Amino acid sequence: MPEELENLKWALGWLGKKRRVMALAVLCSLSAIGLMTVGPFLFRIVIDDVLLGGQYNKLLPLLSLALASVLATQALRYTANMLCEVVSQHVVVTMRARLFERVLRQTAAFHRENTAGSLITLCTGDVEIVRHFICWVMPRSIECVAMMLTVLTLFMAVNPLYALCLFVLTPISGTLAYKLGRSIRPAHKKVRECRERLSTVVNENISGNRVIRAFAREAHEIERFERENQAFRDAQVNANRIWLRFQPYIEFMAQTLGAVNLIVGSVFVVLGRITLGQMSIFQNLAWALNDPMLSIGAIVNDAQRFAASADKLIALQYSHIAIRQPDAPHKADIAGKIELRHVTLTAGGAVLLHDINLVIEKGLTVGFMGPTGSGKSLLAGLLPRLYDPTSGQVLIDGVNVKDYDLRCLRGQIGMTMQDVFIFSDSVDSNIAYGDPEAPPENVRRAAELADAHEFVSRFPQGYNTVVGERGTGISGGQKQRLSLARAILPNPSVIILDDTTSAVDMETEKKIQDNLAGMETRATKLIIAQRVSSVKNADCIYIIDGGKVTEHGDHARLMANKGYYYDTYRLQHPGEAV
Amino acid sequence: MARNTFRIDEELDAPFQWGQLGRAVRYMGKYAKNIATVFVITVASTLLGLLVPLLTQRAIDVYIPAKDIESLLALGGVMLLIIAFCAFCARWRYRLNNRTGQGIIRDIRSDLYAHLQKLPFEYYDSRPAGKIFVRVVNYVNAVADFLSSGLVNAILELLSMVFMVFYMLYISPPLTLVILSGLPLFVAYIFITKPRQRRAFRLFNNKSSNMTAYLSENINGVRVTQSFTREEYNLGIFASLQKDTRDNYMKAVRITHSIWPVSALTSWLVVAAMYIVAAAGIRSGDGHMTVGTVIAMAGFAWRFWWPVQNLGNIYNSLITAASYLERIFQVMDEPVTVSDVPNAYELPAINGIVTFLNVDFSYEPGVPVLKNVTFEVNQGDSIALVGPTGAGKSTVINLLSRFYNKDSGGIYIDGHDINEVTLASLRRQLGVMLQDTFIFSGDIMENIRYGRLDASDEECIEAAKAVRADEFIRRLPQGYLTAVHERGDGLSAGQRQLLSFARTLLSRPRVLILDEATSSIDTQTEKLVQDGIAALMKGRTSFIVAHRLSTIRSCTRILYISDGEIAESGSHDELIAKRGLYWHLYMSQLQA
Repeated sequence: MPEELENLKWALGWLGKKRRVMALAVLCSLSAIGLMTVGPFLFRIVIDDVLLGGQYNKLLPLLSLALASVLATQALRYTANMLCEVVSQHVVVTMRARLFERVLRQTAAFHRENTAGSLITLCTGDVEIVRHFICWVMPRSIECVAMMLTVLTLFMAVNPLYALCLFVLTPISGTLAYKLGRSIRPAHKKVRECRERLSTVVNENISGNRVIRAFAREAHEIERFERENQAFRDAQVNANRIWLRFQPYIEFMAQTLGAVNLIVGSVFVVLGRITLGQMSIFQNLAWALNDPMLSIGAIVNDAQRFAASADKLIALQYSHIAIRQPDAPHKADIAGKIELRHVTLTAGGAVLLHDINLVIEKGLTVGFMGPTGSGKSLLAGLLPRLYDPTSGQVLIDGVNVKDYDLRCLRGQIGMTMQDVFIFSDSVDSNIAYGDPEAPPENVRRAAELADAHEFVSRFPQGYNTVVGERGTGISGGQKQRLSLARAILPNPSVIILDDTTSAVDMETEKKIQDNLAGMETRATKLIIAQRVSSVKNADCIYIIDGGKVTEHGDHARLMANKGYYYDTYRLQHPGEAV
Repeated sequence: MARNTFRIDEELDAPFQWGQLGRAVRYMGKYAKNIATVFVITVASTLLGLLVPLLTQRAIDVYIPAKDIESLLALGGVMLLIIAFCAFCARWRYRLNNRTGQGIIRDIRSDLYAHLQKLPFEYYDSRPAGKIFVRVVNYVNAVADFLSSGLVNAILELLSMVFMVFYMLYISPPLTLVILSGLPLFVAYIFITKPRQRRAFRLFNNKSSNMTAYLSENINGVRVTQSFTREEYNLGIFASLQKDTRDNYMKAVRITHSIWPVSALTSWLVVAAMYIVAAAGIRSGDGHMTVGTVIAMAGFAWRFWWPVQNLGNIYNSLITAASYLERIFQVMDEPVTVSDVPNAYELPAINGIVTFLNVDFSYEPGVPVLKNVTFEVNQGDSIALVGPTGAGKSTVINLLSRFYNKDSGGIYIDGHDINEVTLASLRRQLGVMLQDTFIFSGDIMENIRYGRLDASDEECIEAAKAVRADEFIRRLPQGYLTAVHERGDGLSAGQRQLLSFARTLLSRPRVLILDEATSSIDTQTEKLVQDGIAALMKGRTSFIVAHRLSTIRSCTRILYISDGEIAESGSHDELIAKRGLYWHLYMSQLQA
């Protein structure tokens, strides 16, 4: 089973420096198992020598010895358990951190393919299955193998023929275990798949609760959920059923081993091949054979469950990140000159941006307008490398953005997204998102520039007020202003405002524009908007339609052009004479 | 409204109540027959299993000295039969347990989910989504094992304990007392550590819930994080949340793992004590105390302590399960503040006469958002709600759709108090399009159909055409069958708004409510959309929150809301003539 071996190797790789701790844990538990044989031996002496032989003075020393062995056994077992927990927690923490990092660094395309629910499941449920594998399945299987081997050697030493009689049964159990592993593998894959689908539905339901209420679609949602809930239950029942179909046979084989041990032993005694004393050794050690055989089903089942999760975790861990740090990152203070040369962006066969060429000198304000879905936001996303163009080049200060240190590049571009995302945290932390150490004066200054200070101060706890996830509880206009404050706080050289004032009233918009114009540092500003008032005063306005620049020029020129811009202006200023 | 974040542990004041366990047990009721069968099967196979050591005894004491190989083989045959029977029982039991356990999980999850569908916006707004998610997915999974077999096993172990006690009492009452004397010690240990263990698990749950909340939020806000290059910093926060989780987990399992050594140690102590007492008895010539009795009692002592240890284990899983169950039930107990009143009636097909009468409302006590709002809207009116952000425009819409309950006053549609009618019948007739344009995973067609589930493909396409979405949809790789999801990155914000517009229109609302719903749609498309809607909404009432003058002007009436009150009301021309707040707004925009 090379696939299983790969998964095992992967899991062992996560142990890292804790490999030795794991070895120590196994050692402890094996010693504990060894010590457990001491107790019955001592009590036998108690019976023979003390109770029958009348040597009462031996009683207390013997009992103390027994107590000491129990204390040692239990201490070893406890230590082994705790060490396993320590190791598995170490694996969980490092693995989750790595996965989280992967998720954070992944591109928009990746996040389009993977639902939030499935990513959360990977980082919680699947990691938990790995924890169980490290904490229980791995040490337990080593323990079982060690126990079997020890008993085998012991039996061989006493009487090889006898040992052979017992071990003739183990291949049957082995075959059962192998068959179980084969047949349960697809079942666990199915369970995992269903768990992921269930997570997606639940997560969507929570995120989309407003829309659901608005359409009174609760019943429909319950129906949708019940389908997945039932599917998950069925998959789980099925996987368990396969395991439990084998388990009775495995138990039967284990118990049979006990019976065979007794009968073969008795017959051997009768035939004079072994002594009664030797037989009692075999009897007393029967559990060391029984125990591993009983565990084998659970081990195989859990290992296959682990394999199903491991496949997915490995896929995430090694998922390709298309946009990454260049090999020789360029670091520089950005002045703000932007140039796009023959930029084309395609996705899934569709051309989203086509051969775009433009130059924006530093410090200028440029507007972008155009029909819904024409590619304005995509174009803006090229600057901080949220996307990379399929062909062509994006240059800032004459340097290709692909050559910049990512942190340096993105850190100097302040961007607000059309789809405002507010974190469920204080207003203060949200504004200072790009610079968590920013002093309160700066936070306040950014809020003032974004015309957010006034409404924030009216909140009961001011800047410490916690806003809901996605900014629930505050209005669309307030959300936009918070995201604007967030974008300008780090004093970026390039500011991209993507539809940032669409939910803000005109007066406020005017105020914000004046504030931004009055900022000390003359940042290059890219403003994407649908309202003429947002871009009217820009140095240059580009009209993007169908992924191409169709018009450009300042207000006067575009009005004279009588194209898209002119039409839009007329629609938005209905009362005005031509 | 106190909002919870990933930094804040969720409080849970109530101490653990056994009632919660009772509640969990009620979920077992449906499977009572299965559970009873399992019980009978287990008792039968356990009793039969007791024969095995007796047979062993017989082999050693009788057949070996007699050198009777034939009987030994026969005995082996009997043993195999017993083992086979036990295996058969086990198979049956496993199958039933499997169904019971997974069934209970499904039922709890169903109830939890169904309750979540009833909870109001406030519930969702006041905590991170990840904290709700873990309850429905992870916590319910975690109680599976305990509920499927834990309780049944506990009863069985208790029974075999009692069984053993009677057996021991029959053989030697004094030695039985010695053996039993360890029990209070063990129980005392459990009771002393219990509060600490429970606290530790509760803390662990809190921390892991915080961590999941942070994880979930970071996935949803990943683009913001990337554009601010906050990855490193967030990894740091995540690391500290993970550390909190791990530390509390380790604290909790430190106690969990201690139960085994303690019970093992206690059992050895009582056996040792029993030997001392027995030795003293034999030495003093007590006739009742024979070596045979002692050996037998030692055997029984182990058999008595075995279930005690198992009970300790079951108890551990009870503690863990309880810490999840209390969180699950906490959600189920969350009051449904917006719900149908008793005797609520179906709102008949409405014409759209909307009345607000002295309505007061506040999201948080003491911070009024709407103050004594009164207005009436006639059938077919289109109303523009304008005013500064945060003045209460969206709140008017939220109250009309009964997303929140007003504090006082009355809201009527066609004379029906909206509090008296069923929520579903009210909302089904209102087409509310929120700022939040949520896209469900599925294809475009399904997303439009969300507006009316029984709509045909043609009707969906019709709606898409009306809002001018048809054109861009057809340009997508698979047209209407293009897969989209939740964080619909593939679509622009304007396209998402058009989709959600089509969805709303398809629902054939009697009253249309648009809350800044077209802000990202370009003006020319919006104009076309409006024409399309005008035809569809002829004679229907509509409410529109918007900032674009072109949108506002086309309404029949404008309500200017300022500071929670209606400052001005009238048509565009009337309000312009008035030279008040609206005039001011209009002029400033014209100059822009």
